[in-house]
Amino acid sequence: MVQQKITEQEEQEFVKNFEAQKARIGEETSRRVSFPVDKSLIRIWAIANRWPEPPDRLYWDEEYAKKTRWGGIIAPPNFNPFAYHIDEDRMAGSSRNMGAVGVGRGNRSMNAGGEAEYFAPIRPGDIITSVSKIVDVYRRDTANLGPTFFMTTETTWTNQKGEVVKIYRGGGIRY
Amino acid sequence: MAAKLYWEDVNIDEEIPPFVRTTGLMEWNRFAAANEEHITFHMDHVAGRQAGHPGAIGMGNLRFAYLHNMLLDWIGEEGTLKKVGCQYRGRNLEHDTLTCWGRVIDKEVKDGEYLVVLNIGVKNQDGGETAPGRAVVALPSKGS
Repeated sequence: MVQQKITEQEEQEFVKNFEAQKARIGEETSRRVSFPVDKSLIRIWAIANRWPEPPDRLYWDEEYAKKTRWGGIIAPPNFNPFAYHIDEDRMAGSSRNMGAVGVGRGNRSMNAGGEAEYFAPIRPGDIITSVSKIVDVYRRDTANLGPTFFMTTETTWTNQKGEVVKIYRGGGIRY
Repeated sequence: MAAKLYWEDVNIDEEIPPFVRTTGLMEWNRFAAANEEHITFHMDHVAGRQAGHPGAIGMGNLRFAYLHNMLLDWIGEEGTLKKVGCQYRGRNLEHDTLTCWGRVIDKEVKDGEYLVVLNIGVKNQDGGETAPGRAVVALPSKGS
């Protein structure tokens, strides 16, 4: 993409958005408790992960899964138990159709990536608690997008037994 | 499932079998449905252009899933995925053929676990690296 030059007004808009997010370092941004993990959602996830090839039996065939070292169906490590969640945002009318997240410099957003560390597997019936906090916000302009800042969030998932399931450190770029 | 992979069988600099997918709206929409990731620039070319891209773009989470598939296929059910990370450096455009790759860069025994460290990534059909990263897996050992 050819990056157009930005105006002084756009730079000011960007800096304002950057400073607003930077002030949030340390803030807990979300705390959620999942619905019990459903076997069908695990199966759907496994299909979407690997489509058009069939999903691994470990994720949908209980008889097969019982004979593995896991002793039953588990979810793929990257499974998200918070899809189709009900929370305050949704009850307030959010459609979850986020569109291009925000408009204007420093408000447009993309996933920058991150690192997941896995511990206990997620099993059907598990209830996962997720706590996220902002750990870093820094500016690093990019050739493709122009003025850009990165927001790093650390999210910890624990199951109903108090076992850590996953720690994800990653974030978004805002441009 | 491949034959059981032991830690002792893995060599530094070894390349693991790739995982390859050609992606477009069918793959993205199916993943969006599973992850409730209905963001318009993943679903619609006009929205993609409005967000400053050449058209709709694939979600990073799907490339992340493909990296997991590659690693899980390689280690088999006796292996354990410990860490997977990547950074999204390039866009996934419609009809891109994505090749997930991995190369072993280190082996270590730590706290009784037999670990393998890999550089990983997702290249497009032009050879461009779109999601460089790193992974750590634990494997069974012949000695334990």
